[in-house]
Amino acid sequence: MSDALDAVRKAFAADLAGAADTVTVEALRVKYLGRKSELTAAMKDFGVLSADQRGAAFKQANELKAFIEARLSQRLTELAVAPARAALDVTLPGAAVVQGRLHPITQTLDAILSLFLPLGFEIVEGPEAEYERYNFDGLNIPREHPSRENFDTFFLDVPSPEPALGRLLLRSHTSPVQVRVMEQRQPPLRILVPGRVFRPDPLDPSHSFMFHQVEGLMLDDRTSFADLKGVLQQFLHALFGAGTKTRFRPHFFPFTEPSAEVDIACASCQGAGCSTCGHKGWLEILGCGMVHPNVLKGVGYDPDKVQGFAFGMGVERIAMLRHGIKDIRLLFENDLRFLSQF
Amino acid sequence: MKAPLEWLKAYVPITLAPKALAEKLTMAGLEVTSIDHGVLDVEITPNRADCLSMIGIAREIAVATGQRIKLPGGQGVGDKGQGKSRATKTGGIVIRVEDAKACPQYVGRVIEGVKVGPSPAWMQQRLLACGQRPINNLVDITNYVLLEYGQPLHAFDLDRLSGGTLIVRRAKAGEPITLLDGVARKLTPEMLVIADAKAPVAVAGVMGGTGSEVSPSTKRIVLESAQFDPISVRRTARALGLATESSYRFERGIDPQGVEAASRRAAQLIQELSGGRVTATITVGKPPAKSRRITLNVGRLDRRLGTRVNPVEARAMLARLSCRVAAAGSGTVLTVEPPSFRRDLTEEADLFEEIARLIGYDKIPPTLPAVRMSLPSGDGGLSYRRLQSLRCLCASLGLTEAITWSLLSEEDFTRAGYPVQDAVRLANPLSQDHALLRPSLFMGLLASVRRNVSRGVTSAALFEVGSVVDAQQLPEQPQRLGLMLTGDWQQDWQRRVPSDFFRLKGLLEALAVRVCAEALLAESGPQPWCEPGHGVILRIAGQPVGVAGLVARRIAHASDIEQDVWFAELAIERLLEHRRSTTTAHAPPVFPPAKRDLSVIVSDEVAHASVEAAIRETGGAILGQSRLIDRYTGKPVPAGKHSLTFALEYRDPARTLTAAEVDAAHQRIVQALAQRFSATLR
Repeated sequence: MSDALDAVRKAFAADLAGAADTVTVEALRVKYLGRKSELTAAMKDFGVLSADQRGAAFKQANELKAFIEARLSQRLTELAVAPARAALDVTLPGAAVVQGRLHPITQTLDAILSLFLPLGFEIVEGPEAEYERYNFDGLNIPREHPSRENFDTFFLDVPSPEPALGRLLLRSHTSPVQVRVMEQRQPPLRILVPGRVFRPDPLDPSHSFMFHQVEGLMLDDRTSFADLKGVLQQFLHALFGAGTKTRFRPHFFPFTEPSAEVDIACASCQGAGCSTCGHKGWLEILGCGMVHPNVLKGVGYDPDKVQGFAFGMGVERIAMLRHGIKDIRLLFENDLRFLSQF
Repeated sequence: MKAPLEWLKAYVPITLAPKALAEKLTMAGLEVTSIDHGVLDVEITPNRADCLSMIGIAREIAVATGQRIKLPGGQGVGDKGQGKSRATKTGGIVIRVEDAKACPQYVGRVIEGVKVGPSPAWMQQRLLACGQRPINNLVDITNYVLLEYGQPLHAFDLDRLSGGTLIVRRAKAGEPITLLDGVARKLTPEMLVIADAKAPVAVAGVMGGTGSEVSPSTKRIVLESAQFDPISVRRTARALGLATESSYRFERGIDPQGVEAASRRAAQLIQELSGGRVTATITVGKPPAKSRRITLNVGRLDRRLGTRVNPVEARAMLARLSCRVAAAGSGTVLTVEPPSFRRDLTEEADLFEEIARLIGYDKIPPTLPAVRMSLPSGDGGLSYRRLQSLRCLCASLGLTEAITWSLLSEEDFTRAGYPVQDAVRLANPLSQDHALLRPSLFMGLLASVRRNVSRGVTSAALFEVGSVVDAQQLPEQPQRLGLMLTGDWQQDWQRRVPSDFFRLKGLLEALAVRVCAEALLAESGPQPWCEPGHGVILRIAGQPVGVAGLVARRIAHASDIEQDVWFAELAIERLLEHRRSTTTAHAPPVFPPAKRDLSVIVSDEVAHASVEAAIRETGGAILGQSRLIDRYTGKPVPAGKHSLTFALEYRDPARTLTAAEVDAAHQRIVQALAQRFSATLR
């Protein structure tokens, strides 16, 4: 091909690549195929060539013409189907998606519950306005007993619908559901009870008159104190990390014997003592023990044949530890700037 | 309870550093919460009344560290003038117990020739370290021995007792007494008192009266050491609003064998430190001769603890706790007689805990239970799971979960337009801010919106799942789902979508679609909190399941919310009655639909639902979907009217419809709308 034709082809290819609309494409048609085009001019020069060369040159020129025609109409079709778009500022923010969330207490509760479910525990709920019998007597907390002092309670100012079950109160722990379930079912039992509980503690950064607990109960003919330690240790490792140090200390609860309180080593100071743990090095995380024979007898179980453990923990306390929340009241203000973090 | 190490060392050798000792006690069940200048602060659980004393704590230290404890004497106290008779006057006094159940033991020692003055410095320092203010030698000694033995004592000025008489009896109704706190009180017959011939001189086990108080001029005293019934003391102390060192110990139960020992010890100290001399001892009642016997089966112990305990070691451990132990069988069944001061040890399980704690809870290796699988005995956690999926559904629809107080104030009720007189109240509220049980989730959500708005967060879309209380329905406490919207539903640089009634309704419909088998229908209905004409009653299959609407201006305003707020509340149990069962799937239609739009102009009185119903009714079997796609008012639609545009789809599952069939159906609809609503085509 002559150098002239080659130059035309190259120039056309460059122009076409930059042609983003039909007007430009039509202008290219005039530029490359019109009477004043370089191609037409080049073809006029073919007259000086020999007959042989002239034939070959015209053939090449016509092929180029056909090529240009074809590319121009192809581009026109492309532009008709998908006109070019203006470029976006892709750095603009994405459209706001309306996002809902679960409350951090619900999320923590769910984290706790989901660690016990694979062990075959079943979630049961019970009423918040509860009878005295389930909140106290059925749990081996007799009236006039000093152990009731640890369970100061709100009573409802209404006549009891069921006087034999005592007055109605706002349950001070989730343990009454244990008694309700035991009354209705036979062992083996593995239950978890989440829920709201109430105690007359004035609101301050670490106390609230309303909070949440998770209660667990496992009863059969063989579950032992060593099993209690095993299950709760697994749970605490899963919740706080496999390396978390735990300790079981003797304690007193009227409804368990032996009873224990379980501490985890304070993560902030690694046991050295700091303000998070009140300079103890340990954080009290749950209470537990072997279900007291009196509780079993109270629901008609034979304490020689049925044994097992119960445990209970405060959900807010765990949520506060997990999320570094310093004031329990934040959990009940429902300030969206707080909630939107979870 | 405060326990100075220096004082404890009087009874038990302590070689451990304070921190190590604190650790040991904590792991033995006596949690040491702080150590301050050699004073331990020990948390004593309600069952361990025996540890409410220096000797008690020393005993625990001895057990934990393998030491022996040394008790103080009581030496040199003469038993002159022993008397037991209720009538005879011994040493110038008569002591009579009228209620032996409330006072099983009473020891009175008459000490003559006492000189009242300050107590020695060592005693004052110990009292101060325990947080007690020194008063004078006699009072200090009674306080000192209370702390030492855990046995409350009281000293009466014998010369101020009318008739030289002490009677333990029930108070007469309205009988007055001025107690040592300086407050005059009226007594009731439930209260046990110590009285002289005329009037009460002390409330038994709680506090003495001013009338017989030891004064600088006191010469002769009666030293009281007694055992009072825990329940009686507890009731009395509560009724009087008093909690004293004495009542605290009586309520938890004192060592019946310690009554005489403590009396002797105090008498000895009085003789030594105030120069008096015991001239008479009157004892009424006596400690129970026999103590409890508990059978401990070591096999059962092993099963309960999940570890092997050597019976010989179990025996030794119980002996360390001052139990008397006898073995039967092959030594695996023990008969255990706990010491009198361990009133908490009443059954086998109590001994299991004692042995576990002496082994050390940390020494019992953790195991995982060997369980046999069993079917869930209840619903398998289904009802909780349903509530939880409802919460997740709400969150997925764009709502943020709130947790609001179950307890409200009267003001919360009034602000929300709820009558206060229907409220269920607490009998003993902590404060009036939280004294009424919530009858609805409305107040709590409104308070949350109020708080957000006042803090400049003016857009909120909240939900809460929780129970409410209605006096008529107790003890049932229905579960509710509450929704509250205000401000913008969505806002970014491209668009701003304010919340409105239809946003709320859309959320509720979406919820119902996901949860229920049938559609949620709304019919207009007034609510106390709702703007007239902006509220609906929600029904599923004809049954009411909830309410929704715009919060009345005056109610929002009362909460300082000067913007529109929408609220809905659903009864979860009722919603779930209509829950969807497993879906039966249909393959998507094979034949294409014929799509027609229908635009009609109707009067503003005509409700959309009735037009929609007429379309459905007259469209016939071939009318598939009908969807409202536009509602328009304004020119060229005449005033008082609006246009509704529906996108209709006609289809037959088995074939392609002909144009004639579709036209006929469409025409029927147009005619029906014209007839029923005077609708004209736009």
